[in-house]
Amino acid sequence: MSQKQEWIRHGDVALVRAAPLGRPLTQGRSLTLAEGEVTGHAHVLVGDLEFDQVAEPTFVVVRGTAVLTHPEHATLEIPAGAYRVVRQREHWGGVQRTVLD
Amino acid sequence: MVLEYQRVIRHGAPTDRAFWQALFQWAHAVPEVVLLDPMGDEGRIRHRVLAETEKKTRDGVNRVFGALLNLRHGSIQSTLRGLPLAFRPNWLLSARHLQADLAVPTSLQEWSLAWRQGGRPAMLLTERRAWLEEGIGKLDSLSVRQLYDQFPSCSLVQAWMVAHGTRIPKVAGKPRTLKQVGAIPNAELRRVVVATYGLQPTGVPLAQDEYGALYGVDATTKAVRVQCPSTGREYWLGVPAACRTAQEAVQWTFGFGPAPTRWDDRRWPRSLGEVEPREVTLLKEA
Repeated sequence: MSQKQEWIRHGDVALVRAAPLGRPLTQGRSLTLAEGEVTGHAHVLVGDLEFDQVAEPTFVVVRGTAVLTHPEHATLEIPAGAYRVVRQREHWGGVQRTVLD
Repeated sequence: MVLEYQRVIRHGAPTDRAFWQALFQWAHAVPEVVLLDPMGDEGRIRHRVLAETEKKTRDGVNRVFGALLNLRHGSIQSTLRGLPLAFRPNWLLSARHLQADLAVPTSLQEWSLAWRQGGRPAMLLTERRAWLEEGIGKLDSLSVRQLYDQFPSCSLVQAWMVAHGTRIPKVAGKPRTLKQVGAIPNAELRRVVVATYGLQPTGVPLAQDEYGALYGVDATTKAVRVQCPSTGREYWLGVPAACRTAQEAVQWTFGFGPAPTRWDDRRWPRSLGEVEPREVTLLKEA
């Protein structure tokens, strides 16, 4: 079955439009979505946010607007809404792994 | 001990012969140039590396190298202990101008970092181009201050290399095949290795579109060559052989499309990857 899916890409991280989780989330002004392994650079979402408080965030709600920053990527304005945080993946020799930089 | 030198090159052990020739020709022509072997941690000079370097430089190159070696004898060695620890941010700000002042050939500029020490110009030349490929132009006072905070235990030069470049491992057998490249787990490291050592001819792409180019690797894997929209850098990412186009491959890397043959990363949201291909709209990217 086909279903429309909207997403925003920022390097090796994507925000994919999602339905609200329907459970309480942690509120905050800044959320690191991913950190570079060798570069040390991070994708950081800044704004009025709600997110699941885990080591690697998988879900975030943007209240109002937020900006997604990274030292090597253009800053993107993220519209209000609920998003699933998706790390880019890859597949070599039958094994899947998260893309690291 | 008082710093006696005016121009210092700290060099490593690049294996490219053309590089060495360019370096020596330039250094020989510039008065008061001192060519030093690489310093280890905390600025100590490692003679072992110099010995290896000498073995690599023979015939015509060695004649120039011998003259330069004379310049590094004596007090220079002890004077340079801990040199990187004495860095100040403002010394780095005029790096490009200083390179021009030193008439550093273009082929050497990308290997080097210049600064002023006690009002005198000096230059650091690394052994790995990849360390410095991000370019001196990106360095500003803010990033240097951040480096001081971020890497308190190491020298500023080391910190700058860490933050602005990628240290690459020594790689045997170059250029490399796509399969060998795919064995490098970090995509940034993989990019730097490909940029530095090259890649064996990959043949005609299986498919090509605005997302990139798709190549065959083996029975289970294809590789998509993509370009970062922000940095313009070229990356190679592995995807399942089931991907038919570059667009499909890139979308798969973000969780859209066919399932992989085997799940290795249990953190991955399975609900994204194991659905039928669907209409996917990219709202914006950077």
